[in-house]
Amino acid sequence: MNVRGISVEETEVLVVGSGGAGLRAAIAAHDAGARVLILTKGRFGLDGATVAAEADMAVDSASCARRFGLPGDTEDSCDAFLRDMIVEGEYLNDQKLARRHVEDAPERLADLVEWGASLRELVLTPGHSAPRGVWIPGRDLASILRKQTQKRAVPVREHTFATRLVKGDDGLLGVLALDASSGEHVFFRGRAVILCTGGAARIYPYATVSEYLTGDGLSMAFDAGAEIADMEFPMFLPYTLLSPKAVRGIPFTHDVTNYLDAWALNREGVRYMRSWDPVRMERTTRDVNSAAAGVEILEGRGSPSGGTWLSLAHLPANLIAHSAQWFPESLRNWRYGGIDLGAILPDLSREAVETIPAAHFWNGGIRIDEKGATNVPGLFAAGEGTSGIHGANRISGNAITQIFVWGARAGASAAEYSRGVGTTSPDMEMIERFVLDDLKYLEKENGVSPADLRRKIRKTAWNNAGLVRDEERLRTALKDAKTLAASAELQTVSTRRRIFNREWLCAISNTRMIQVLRLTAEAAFLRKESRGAHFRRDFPETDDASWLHRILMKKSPSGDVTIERVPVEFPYFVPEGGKRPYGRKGGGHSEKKTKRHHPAI
Amino acid sequence: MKRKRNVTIRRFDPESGESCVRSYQVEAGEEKESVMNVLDAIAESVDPSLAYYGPCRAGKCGGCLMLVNGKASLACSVIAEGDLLLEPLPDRRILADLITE
Repeated sequence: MNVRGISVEETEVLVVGSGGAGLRAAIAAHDAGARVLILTKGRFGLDGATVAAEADMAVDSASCARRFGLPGDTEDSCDAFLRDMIVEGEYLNDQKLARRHVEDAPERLADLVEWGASLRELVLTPGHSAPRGVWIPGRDLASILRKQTQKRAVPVREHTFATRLVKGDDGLLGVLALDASSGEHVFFRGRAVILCTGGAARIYPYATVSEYLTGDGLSMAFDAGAEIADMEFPMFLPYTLLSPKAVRGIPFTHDVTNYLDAWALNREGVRYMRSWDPVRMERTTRDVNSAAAGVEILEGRGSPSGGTWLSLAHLPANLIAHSAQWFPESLRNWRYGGIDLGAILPDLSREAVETIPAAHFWNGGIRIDEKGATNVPGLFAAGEGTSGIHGANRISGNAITQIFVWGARAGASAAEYSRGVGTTSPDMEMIERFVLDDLKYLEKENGVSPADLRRKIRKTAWNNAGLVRDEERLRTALKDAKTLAASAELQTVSTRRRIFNREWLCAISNTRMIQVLRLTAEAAFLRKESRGAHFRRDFPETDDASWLHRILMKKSPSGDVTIERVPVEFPYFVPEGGKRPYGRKGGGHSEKKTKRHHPAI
Repeated sequence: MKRKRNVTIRRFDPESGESCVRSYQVEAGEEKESVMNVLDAIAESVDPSLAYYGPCRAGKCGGCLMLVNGKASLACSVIAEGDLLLEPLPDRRILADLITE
């Protein structure tokens, strides 16, 4: 086999990922005096979830009013925001992290305003007891962050796919990456590495987010010895489009359910939400909507393509047509981004549309402390795919807040760390082995097709570790993960060309997806209750008597997984305890209705 | 009975420096599919060497901008109708096939 000479580049702080968290971290590290280099899988600032977000940033309402001149509620407080976050997180949040999160949020919004963000409106979203959603479209966020990064002349390596974290005896030494534009591996030496690689929604066949979110960073961190937590809580967004194929994964119809009185129907025409939340029906929380659809699908009452029906047909055609005039900009005239849904969807005054809960956000992931540091010296992480902030379920707006609060923290911490650390030489033999491990897929013939393997990964993830879980299914998921891991070793890539070889990148990230699936299934298997984004039909209650714990996982010395169950600490808000029905959030939850009521995103 | 769709793609191999035009025949799905769906079908079942880009799949990142039957379009946002001619955007350096700078 050929091992091409591996080139080495050096910097102080290496940022992996150029979405919101990555760019915010890079800016913070630069401003703290470090030399920074960014690697990103696709195009700078545009390849992850941030640019596509139609979203609000959650900041306490009093700050919104006092600091930013928005129509906020001056009676609100960081405490109230924290409480709502913890209630939505079903008491599994790391309350200390959550406290830092709500306290930092106004400062981070101030940065954005300084950088030119225009704050268009303030919205009240489900779960919040005051209007805290500062509306800034993702494309504006991406544009602002790109500009600030470019202003600081931070170098960015596009189409550069990190495949391994490289460790030395004392900590992290850098990242091995594959530059798709040259087909060559590069070892990037850094004194500190910040993983801002997003979540793993794309292990599922239905997802609302960038296809790059396959959990690569999560999996690499695990391999490097980082603690991973809360993997059983991938969040699904109900009522995303399923059919036709062209619009699969588009959240448009989810947003519509909060403006028009849409009905979720199973194939019998029954409005099934009645058995889950007879008061709020389809307007209940996302997790309950998702689990409910999951049960209909599982029990064979789904729609033809495997989802459930969403119907507006009970509404008059002119009422539906009038919505074009008052829907928010992101939905007006049935356009979503560049897509003209009006031309693609059927006439909704006459026909139902197939929808499905699609994987949307990863609530858990790499364990971080208040500095954004992991347990691996030199390894930091920020953004989606880190754990502790959201608990079992993320409250609306907090994904955007997370980017900025934790990107900034990790960037500053990594810069500080990089000043203190010495340079040890990497083991180039080990790096060569890593390179060969990536190259092996190009060397074989007639093995497993990466595209087929990916389909299999997604199928088992969906069926066995998805919306509705039970012991038998989770056992199957774990068994499949083992089989799939063995098959992954046998993947062959039909093209020898190294430059922009999609199939090769697919093969490599398949191994990452399989590991994420395994970790998710392990955690879900252990948690014998239902809570937030984790629903088990064999344990359908939320069990605060036994399960106010988080599930931590770490690579064992033998290379297997060590699993630990750790009790949650409650420095600020203590749950009542005892068993309760799934989905009922704790008390102190205001049902205030205002004119602006935007969907949870 | 599934219809066939002819897809002609202007390709560029950066390793050899050669350009060529390749034609593929794929089954047209029964449901409306986007040009991106068609590219995925070609890459998965017919020719995995095809290079294209556009991760968001929602008309937001701009990455899949290309000429579809001569018109600059986001491949993920355009419904594939009949036969297709797909080319990289003009006036930009082509990195591989449909991926430009």
